[in-house]
Amino acid sequence: MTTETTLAPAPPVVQEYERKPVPASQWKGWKSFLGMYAGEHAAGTEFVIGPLFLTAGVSAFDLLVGLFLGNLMAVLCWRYLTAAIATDVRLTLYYQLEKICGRRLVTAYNLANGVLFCFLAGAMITVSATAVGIPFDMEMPKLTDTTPNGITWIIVVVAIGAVISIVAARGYDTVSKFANIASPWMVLVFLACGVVALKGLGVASFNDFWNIFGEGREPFPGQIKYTFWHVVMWSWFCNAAMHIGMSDLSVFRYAKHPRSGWTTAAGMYVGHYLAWICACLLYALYIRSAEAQAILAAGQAPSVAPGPLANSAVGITGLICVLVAGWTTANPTIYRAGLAFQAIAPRFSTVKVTLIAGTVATIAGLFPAFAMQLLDFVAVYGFILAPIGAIIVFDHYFAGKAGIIQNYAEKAGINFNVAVLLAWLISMAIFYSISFFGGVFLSFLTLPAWLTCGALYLLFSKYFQKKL
Amino acid sequence: MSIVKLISYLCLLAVVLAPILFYADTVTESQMKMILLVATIMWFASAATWINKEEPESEPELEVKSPI
Repeated sequence: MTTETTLAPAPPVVQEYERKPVPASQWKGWKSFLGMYAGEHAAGTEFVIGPLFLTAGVSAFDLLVGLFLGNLMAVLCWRYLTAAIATDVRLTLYYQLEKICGRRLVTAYNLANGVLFCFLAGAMITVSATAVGIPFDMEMPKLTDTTPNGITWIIVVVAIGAVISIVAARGYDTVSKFANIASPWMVLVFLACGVVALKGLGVASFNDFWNIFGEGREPFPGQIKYTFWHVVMWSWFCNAAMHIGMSDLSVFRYAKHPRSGWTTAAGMYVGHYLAWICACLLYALYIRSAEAQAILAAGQAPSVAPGPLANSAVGITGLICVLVAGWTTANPTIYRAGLAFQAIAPRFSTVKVTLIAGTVATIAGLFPAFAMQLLDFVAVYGFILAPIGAIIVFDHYFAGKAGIIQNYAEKAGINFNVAVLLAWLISMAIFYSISFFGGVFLSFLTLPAWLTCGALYLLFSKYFQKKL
Repeated sequence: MSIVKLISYLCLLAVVLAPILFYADTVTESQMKMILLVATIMWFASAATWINKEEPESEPELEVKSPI
């Protein structure tokens, strides 16, 4: 306890109403959420996601209209599910979940969240490494690389991972403040990259722009072909953990009105539309280069290395942006993963658990597969965490109609609601098997898994709940 | 609005304008990159003096910042 206080002084904090509803005096208007969402979704991952769409052979219509529709669906989920429930109960996800499924099951959810966050942070370390490695003439990982490609790569990744982990453990607050400063600038650097790429691609009209992607192409080696519906479903559910997974209950519990949910559109259309398309344009410019064409002609996939891409477009500013984007995304992600691990091993200090999470993330970062296959990994992330949100939604709206007790764990005084665990595991097992054995794109199955989890929860609760 | 804040916003404006001017062939590539770099340095130097003073800090444990 003393050690933790000494080594990792908690930042000064406003009262967060962790275990009670946010009082009306603390409710905030929609403007408070607008800036937060606009900045939050311009992260290091966007530098990789945009180009990966191109490697999946998307057409102009698939990309522009598919992303528009997918993001719109995500915004509607935030508005009519997350914000609606958040302004009804005004509790954090964790406390709401604890009331339904008990403290021990929340720990299991936390663990799943923590492990997935470590791998996402690893992908961010990979992204940063592509910027830091340039002065060292480091060989960039190829799209199909899964393991480290050389000693320089290992040294750079370990160095970045160590710095990020130590800073996350000891100076979370400083990086958090730095991220606030970087956020509006980062969005504009994405835009700058896009404008410069347009010039490089010789775009003078909307028609020219449309023809960059045209009717699409064959996916690059090792990638699957994305159709319109792949783009829609993937972009809808890449943040599934946050909207239908109810993570953002913690944010919207402060909203005066569920209408604040519309502000997520700022995040979606700045980060997940503009930034993705700008990053995509950077890659489109690169694959027209002689170097990339030679790689393609040899039947290989040109690398998706955000550092060199941004450097060629906007110079050192681009390198700084890639490094900062990766770092400021990895920092809270590692910190949050550490806290998840601490819930399992409370005797470990925050510093220790954050360093453990940072070590796992750094090891993950050594393997470019997490960044190069980020579309697949993000789909898994949403698929695993989203069904837990269905438990909250179904408990909130259908408990009365189904004749089950709402917030059962709290009322029954139990630590582990087996109905929740079974619903979560069975729905995931069924739909992941369909994806794995049937070769179905995982994002197509996120919604069925979510609905099944909710329905199974009602069914199992009916069977397992005792009369109180 | 303080002068520092004004400088910060001008820096952001420069980050937007530099690539547009490059697109319009008004500035060269190296000029555009230099404008971006100078605007970036000035943005961080100026924004650091005011941007975090306007928002209360929140508890990181409860912040579930999306990594995507």
